[in-house]
Amino acid sequence: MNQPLIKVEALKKYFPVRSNHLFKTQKQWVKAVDGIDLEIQSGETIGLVGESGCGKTTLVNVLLRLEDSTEGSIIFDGLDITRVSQKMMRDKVRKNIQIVFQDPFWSLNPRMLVRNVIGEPLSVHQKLSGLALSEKVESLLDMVGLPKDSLYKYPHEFSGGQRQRIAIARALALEPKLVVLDEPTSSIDILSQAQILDLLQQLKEKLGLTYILISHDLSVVHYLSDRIIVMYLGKIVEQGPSEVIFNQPVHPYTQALFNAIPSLSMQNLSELQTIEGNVPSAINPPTGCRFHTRCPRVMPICSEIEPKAIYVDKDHQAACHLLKS
Amino acid sequence: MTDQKTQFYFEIKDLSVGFRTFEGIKPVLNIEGLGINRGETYGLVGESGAGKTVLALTILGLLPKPAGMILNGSILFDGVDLLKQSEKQMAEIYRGKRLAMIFQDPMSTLNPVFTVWQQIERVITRQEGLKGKACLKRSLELLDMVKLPDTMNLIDKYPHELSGGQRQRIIIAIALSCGAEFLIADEPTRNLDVTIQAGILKLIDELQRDFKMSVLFIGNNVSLVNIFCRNAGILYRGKLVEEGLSNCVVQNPLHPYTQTLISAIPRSKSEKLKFSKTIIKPEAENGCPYFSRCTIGKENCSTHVPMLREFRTESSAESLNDIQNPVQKAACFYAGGTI
Ligand SMILES: Nc1ncnc2c1ncn2[C@@H]1O[C@H](COP(=O)(O)OP(=O)(O)OP(=O)(O)O)[C@@H](O)[C@H]1O
Ligand SMILES: Nc1ncnc2c1ncn2[C@@H]1O[C@H](COP(=O)(O)OP(=O)(O)O)[C@@H](O)[C@H]1O
Ligand code: SF4
Ligand code: SF4
Ligand SMILES: [Mg+2]
Ligand SMILES: [Mg+2]
Repeated sequence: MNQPLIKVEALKKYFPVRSNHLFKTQKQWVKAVDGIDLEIQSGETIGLVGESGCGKTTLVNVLLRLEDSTEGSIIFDGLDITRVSQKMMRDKVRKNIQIVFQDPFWSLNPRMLVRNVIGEPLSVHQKLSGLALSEKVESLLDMVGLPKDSLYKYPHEFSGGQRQRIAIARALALEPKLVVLDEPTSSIDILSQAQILDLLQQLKEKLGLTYILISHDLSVVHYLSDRIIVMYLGKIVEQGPSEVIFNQPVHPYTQALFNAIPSLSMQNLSELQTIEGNVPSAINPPTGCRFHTRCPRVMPICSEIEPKAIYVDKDHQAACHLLKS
Repeated sequence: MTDQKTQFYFEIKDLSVGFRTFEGIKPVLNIEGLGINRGETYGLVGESGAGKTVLALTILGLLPKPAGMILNGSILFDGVDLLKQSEKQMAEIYRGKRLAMIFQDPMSTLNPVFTVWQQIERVITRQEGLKGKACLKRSLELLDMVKLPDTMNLIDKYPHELSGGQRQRIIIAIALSCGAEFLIADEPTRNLDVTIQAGILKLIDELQRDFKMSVLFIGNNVSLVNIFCRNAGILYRGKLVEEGLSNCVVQNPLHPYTQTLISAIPRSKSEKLKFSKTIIKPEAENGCPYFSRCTIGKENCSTHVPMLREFRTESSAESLNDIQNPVQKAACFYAGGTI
């Protein structure tokens, strides 16, 4: 296999929190990302799934170096970006990693013309201006399917779907290698959503992009992803090719997660599965397997020993005591 | 819901709601008719901005004033026109009593500075006149009803100490404490994880059966509405464009908008999306609200407004042979191809 675009090893991100117990203030840690290993090949789309608070955004923020990691390494394109200076990060790495946020309305500056919203990274990094800048922005607009006359409009003059296209054009301006999509379609209507997904797919093929996709909507993840990573309380519990994970998930958590998704073919509420209980605190995660407090197949060993990730098939890994490699 | 002659338990007639803006009155809702029988679940689907929340607020007499204006129509509930009730009557008899509501954001309904107990106590004392031990007993009963664990402990917590799912269960407990006959649930699981969503839906479903409540369930997820509701209505820019048994609407959508909506739901990676080109035509001010995005619209669609018409479709007849006259309605001149 080729050298991966990103190789993450034993990555941890802990946030300090103070808990006030009457007299003593205790310092504790939220273990948002707690020992993650993963590799992303160039040209792949990775779907990151898991319940709210499992650490998806934190993981991505650390990969983008918007947050510093607590431990571990991130090798991007041969360089350990947890160790490089902020200047090096800005000059060499940042332009290669871009992010498209959930709500483009807020991530785009409302008082900026579309020309400048999309052109800002170009004027900063490539010192483009005047006609050259306009032409480059026009070609980006064309690429995301917006008319040229959008150049001199403000973001609020566009619909949600169109604003998302503007955000995509901006993210692609510097021809990045990796694009992080954090809930890219969750604030737009379903017709625009389908078009945005289609656009993202086409751009990926055309430009050879690598995507990391975060979405609560698993049908969106299914549509776009080549490989899926399932997280639970700061850890990866299962990862593998999208079709395998959707059709034959082996980890009890993944199974439960997917059985909870409503689909058009379901007739009855009883076909929807629930997971008992709540997600435990990331400050004091359960011992052993972190899912043991909610797992329908829990065994005595599960609360004592943490299961290691094993290969159940080529490219398909999971961490559960029920599995044998 | 199909027979025009029967009286609905809940019925909206010729309702038209608008908002005052600088450019004049902007119409946002225009519903010719929508009926729900006793004990029936009706799911209203529509994208963001379609007017779903405005409808819920109108029913409850909570439309923001003075911007929101009811221009026309009536909302009959058990024979009474809610739009003709005074604010006092709405507050004393209907809202939070005979009509319960659950909104999409539990944090906005719960007061962050009060504990669960303080919030429930107020409601129960006001509604049932219970105090002290009796009130506590009743509160614990309600928390049990919504299947919250460890209720004695939980009752002293503040909203932020609870998970989204727990908060929504408390909202449901409070909303249904009054033994409502009619429940309006506006995207009650929108901000929850799928894993929590199923549990909340099962809970509402169980309570609906126990109390024989009628439910107006508002959602933007067609699959969910199909699973949860017997009937479904599709709202587009404030107009009901299709209505029928939810099964039939999903399996055999008649209106071009519903068809696009259903085909747009990505099913698998192997299934490519069916449309990628947007057709943007100018809006037809005096015509069909869907004209600007419709692929089959013709000249007359831009000058005439299609009304909801009844269709008798094969799928509706087959899949529900126990129901007489299964009828699907659509507001489109060319719905279903052949007429
Ligand atoms: N700055 C911070 N300080 C303290 N705790 C934090 C901080 N940022 C995140 N956390 C905690 O880290 C954990 C993971 O958070 P994160 O936002 O990464 O989850 P997520 O999977 O992205 O959730 P969602 O899907 O809701 O966005 C949570 O327990 C969260 O409360
Ligand atoms: N207070 C208000 N003033 C003006 N317009 C409003 C107001 N509230 C809602 N609207 C408009 O009414 C329409 C329907 O809104 P809403 O009911 O919130 O949609 P939904 O709940 O389906 O997302 C939208 O066009 C919205 O902009
Ligand atoms: S290790 Fe045990 S608790 Fe964890 S997922 Fe497997 S069976 Fe369930
Ligand atoms: S009435 Fe005409 S424009 Fe409207 S949905 Fe039907 S075909 Fe399309
Ligand atoms: Mg997040
Ligand atoms: Mg709404």
